[in-house]
Amino acid sequence: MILTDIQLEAVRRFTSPIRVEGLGAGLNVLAAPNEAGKSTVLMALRAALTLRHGSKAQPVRDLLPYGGGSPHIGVGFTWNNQPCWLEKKFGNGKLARLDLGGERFDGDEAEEQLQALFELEKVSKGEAAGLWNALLVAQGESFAQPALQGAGRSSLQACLQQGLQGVTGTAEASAMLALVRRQLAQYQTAATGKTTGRLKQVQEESAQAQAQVAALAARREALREDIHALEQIRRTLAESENPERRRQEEEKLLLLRQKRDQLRALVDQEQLAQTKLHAAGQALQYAQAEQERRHTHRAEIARLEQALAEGQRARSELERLAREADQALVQAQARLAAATEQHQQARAVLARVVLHAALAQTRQSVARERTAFERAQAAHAKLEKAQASLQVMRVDGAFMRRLAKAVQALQQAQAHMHAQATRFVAQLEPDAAGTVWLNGQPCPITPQALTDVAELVVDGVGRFTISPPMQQHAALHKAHAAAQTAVDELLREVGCHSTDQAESQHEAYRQMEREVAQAAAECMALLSVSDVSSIGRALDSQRQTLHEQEALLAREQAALTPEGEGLSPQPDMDAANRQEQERLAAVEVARQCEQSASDLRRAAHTRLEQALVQATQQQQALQRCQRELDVWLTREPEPDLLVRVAQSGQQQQQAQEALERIAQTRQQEEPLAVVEQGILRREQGMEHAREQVKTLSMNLRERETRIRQAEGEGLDEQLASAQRHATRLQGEQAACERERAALALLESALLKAETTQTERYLAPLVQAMQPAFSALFRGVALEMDTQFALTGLTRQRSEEVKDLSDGTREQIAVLVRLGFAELLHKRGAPAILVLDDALSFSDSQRLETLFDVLSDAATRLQIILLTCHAEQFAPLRGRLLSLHPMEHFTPPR
Amino acid sequence: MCMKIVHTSDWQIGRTFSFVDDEALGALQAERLNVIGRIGALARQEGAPHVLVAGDVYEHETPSERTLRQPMERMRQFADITWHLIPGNHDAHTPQGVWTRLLRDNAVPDNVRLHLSPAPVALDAGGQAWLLPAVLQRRHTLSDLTAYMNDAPTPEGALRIGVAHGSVVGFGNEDEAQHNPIAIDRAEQAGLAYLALGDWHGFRQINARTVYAGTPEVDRFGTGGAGGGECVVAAFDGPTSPPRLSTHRTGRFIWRKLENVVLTSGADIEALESRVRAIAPEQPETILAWLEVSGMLGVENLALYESLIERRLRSALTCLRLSGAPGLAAGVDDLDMLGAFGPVREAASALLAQVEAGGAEAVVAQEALQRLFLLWGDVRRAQP
Repeated sequence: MILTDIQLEAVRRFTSPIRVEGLGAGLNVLAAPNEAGKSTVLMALRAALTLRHGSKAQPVRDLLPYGGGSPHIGVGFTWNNQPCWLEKKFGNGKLARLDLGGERFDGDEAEEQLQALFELEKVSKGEAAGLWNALLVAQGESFAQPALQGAGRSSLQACLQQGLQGVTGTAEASAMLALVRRQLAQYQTAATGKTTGRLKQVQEESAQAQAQVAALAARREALREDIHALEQIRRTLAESENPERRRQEEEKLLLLRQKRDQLRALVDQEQLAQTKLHAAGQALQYAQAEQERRHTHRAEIARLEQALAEGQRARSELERLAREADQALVQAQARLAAATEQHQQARAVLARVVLHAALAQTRQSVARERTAFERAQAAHAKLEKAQASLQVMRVDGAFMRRLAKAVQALQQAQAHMHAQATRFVAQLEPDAAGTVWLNGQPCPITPQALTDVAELVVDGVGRFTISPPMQQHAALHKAHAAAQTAVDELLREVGCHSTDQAESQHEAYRQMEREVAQAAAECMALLSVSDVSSIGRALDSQRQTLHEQEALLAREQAALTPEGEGLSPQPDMDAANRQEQERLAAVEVARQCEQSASDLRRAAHTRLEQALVQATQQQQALQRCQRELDVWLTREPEPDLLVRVAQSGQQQQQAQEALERIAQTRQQEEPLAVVEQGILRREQGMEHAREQVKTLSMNLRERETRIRQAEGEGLDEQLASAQRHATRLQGEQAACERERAALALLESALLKAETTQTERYLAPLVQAMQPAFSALFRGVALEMDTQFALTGLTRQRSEEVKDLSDGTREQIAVLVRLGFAELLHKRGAPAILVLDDALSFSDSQRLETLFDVLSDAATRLQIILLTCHAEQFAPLRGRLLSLHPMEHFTPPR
Repeated sequence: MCMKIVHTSDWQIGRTFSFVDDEALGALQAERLNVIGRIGALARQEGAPHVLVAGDVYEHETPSERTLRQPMERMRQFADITWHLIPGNHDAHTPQGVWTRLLRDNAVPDNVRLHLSPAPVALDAGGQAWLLPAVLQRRHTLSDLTAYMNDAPTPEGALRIGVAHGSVVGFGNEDEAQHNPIAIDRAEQAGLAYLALGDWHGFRQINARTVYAGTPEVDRFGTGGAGGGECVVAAFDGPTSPPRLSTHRTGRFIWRKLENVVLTSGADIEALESRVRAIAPEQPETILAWLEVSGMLGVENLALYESLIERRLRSALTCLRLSGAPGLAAGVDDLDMLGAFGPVREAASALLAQVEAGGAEAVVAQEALQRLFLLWGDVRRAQP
């Protein structure tokens, strides 16, 4: 098969028609830059072969031009030396046409013929695939070995089978496998084996049907329960509403009520009898109490009378004792009066002695007062004298401060003059002493300040006049003279000649001051005053007080010594005291005697009074008892009381007997509580029955409604129908599962057999590919798997293809594809190889070798290389192809 | 005096059949109603004014409203015939049962009499013929509900006809007879001219006066007794003379079960088809056949079986129910048709080995092998 023409219109980037020019047998190279449309050409070629013209699936949409339009592709080729033409248009104006020599096929027929010729198999609604997919190698696909499935695998198997004896039936096996898989796909997914399709649907429907059966069965059960309950309710209602039963119930109730009324009457009677019994008992108790009271009163009267008699005798004795106590008391009182008189006399003597002693003490005190006054008076005179002396002294502190100030001014004037003076220092030889004179004095050897003109005379030498500077001399002298004058005037004020005298007088002044202070302190101490000014007043006051005390003493003395008594001797204090104490003790004894007699008398009189009071009380009680008894007897004489007691006893006995009779009657009857409870129970029962009738009626209606509904739906029929449905689904499910198991087993068996078969002819396949591989990889041995993939190379050592470099793997993949194309060709099937942008990773040496391999293969089949590396593929020296725009798409005529 | 009655039972309206498809089910159910018309026609034809239906008019205790009323409406069409219905074990006179519903909803035509209490009922105005119904008040009883007939008073010289639903003791399956028992000599004990029985789906005459009429339209493959699909016409010449009995076919469908059908050759397959068709050569659509098939067939014959029985015969009948299937008698010779070599033959050999090994897997392997042969045929036919 040789491709001779490819035309494209409205395919992706080619909105206008183009043609691939230059196609022919052997090697063809379409070298064009990127974006020139090489890949689009390959895509269009593939689409023309594998996509159905009516398809609208994604692969067709991928062909659509950027500017809109219907992709239109034409492929011219020779087959069996006959010119052929394949033309397809997708989308609007869809078209499929295949001219094979003189035969023309259109539409679906063209598609079928195409698939048969190129051994393609439908893989989806709009697409077919086969070994040809491995021969039209798009950009990027050249790196991987082709994955063969379905028709591709079958084609290859057919190729291999042809040349190998004993290998048959692979096509049938593949066809059967495809059929089995198609059938199995109705039950399980190809990839995971999960249930799907009809089996899954049946499983789900079966589960739903089972659930439906269960639900209906439950409803049937509920219906049965409803019917059963309905009957029960009806029976209960009939029983509840039975008039005979109701009449019987009411009769029973009436009887019970009558009995209750009788029992209640009996209870009333019993209560009445009890009341009577109680009243009779009370009356008897009252009467007996009356008897008891009278008896008690009579006993009390007797006792009181006896007590009164005994009290009379006791009282006489007590009166005698009281009289004796009165006499004893009078005697004791007389003795006490006498003792008291004597004691008072002793006390008068003692008082006088005491007065005398006190007067003596007063006298001594007045004398001490006088002495103190006199001392104070002397101290006061001393103070007044010192104060007078101080008064005449003039050199006081103030004067001394003024003097000091004037002296200080004088000293300052002298200091100023001294500062202006000429310093004179003489150092004399030891033997010069007494020969040098200053201002007439032996010349001092210490430094001298000369304020005035001085005269130095050195004996044997002459006379030297020393004149100090004269600028301020007069002013200084004047100031000094003024200061001296001031001092002198001050001294004159106080009549002193010098400051020393002034200071001496000042010292005398201060001494006098101290004396005044001392005399004042003494006065204040003697007169007990705190202030000097108060001394005079205090002295006067003390003088006054002393005079008064002396006058008082004179009066007391005069009073204590009446005329004529002054000579009587006074007892001493101790004797007077002793006598007074003795008399006082006698008085105390007499008083105790009197007290004792008084107590005895009081006790005697108290007892007598008590006896009188008791007698009075007893007399009153006796009278009261007698009076009450008389009243009671008047109100109810004794015989009447006896009659009352007897009657009450009789009544009590009668009431007791009546009560016992009633109790006996009640014992024979049912207890009232039981009867009342019975009535209540029956009434409640009847009420309950009425309520129950209501409830049951409602329940009845509810259940009837439900039953009617279930009846209307024909629940049994529904259940039977659902069970039938479920059974059928179960059967169908089982059948599906059997079918699935059988198909799965068949698939497995076929696949296994096919794989075994494939393994058998892998060796020839490898052998067929070996020359090309040996050219590229010296001394290589190939390993292939049953999926027709080259898995390993053995050169010096075994290498897995997946571990080889990208470039090497691409070279292997290209050679494998070339091998497939060669096999197809050898079998007489149409075959070419188209590689888009392949081998760009190969080194130059390998590329050279590959070119040789491809050139060799191109002698047998057409090879088309699409590349953007024109220079790289130049050594191939194949036909150079180009893309030429056309005015119109031009199918061959 | 000459009187005729038609005796029937076990209509079981509303019955479903799990083994038939929906179309056949509809037809079968419709025919159970249609047969009422044929019974009415028979009564008219025979001059029988009364039809006794001895229980199980309905299949279910709670049929749908339509199912409940349909037979009543069919009977209403025969106003000149009086239809006497008693409850059976399927439609016992239970609370809220079908009979209560019919009476409550006033759905019973005037010419239909429901007998719901066990007491003699006059069949004619003159009181010369009396019907003594036995009434089932629940699905199963352990007492003989016909016992009361012994003492049930009827006028002297009157014709006494009993009608009951149950199992005659000492007849047939003893297990079934434990429920709803009926004394075998009840007719004699109670002085009945005839005891019309229901429950047995095929016609069965117990004695001269005791008869099961069977269902008028067959509803199962094993009916018991003779066939089914019939009604009995009983003619009474006097109150004591034994009835003259005749059976009349009323059923449309023919149910037939062929047991132990062994297929070993193509001839066997063709014979089987002929045998089934011969049940009703003119009306194969009235046939319901249940075939218990076994045997071993070669690959070709298996395909023939598929073609003749599973496809052609199944389409001809109302229902073809198959139990079992012929096995594949594939040997090494049969494998030769798959070619001397090749993966298909190898796969078949492997499956055959599994079949011959036996066990649970063998069944699946057998089916897989059958499919392999069938697919092989398809593949070969598809090849140019």
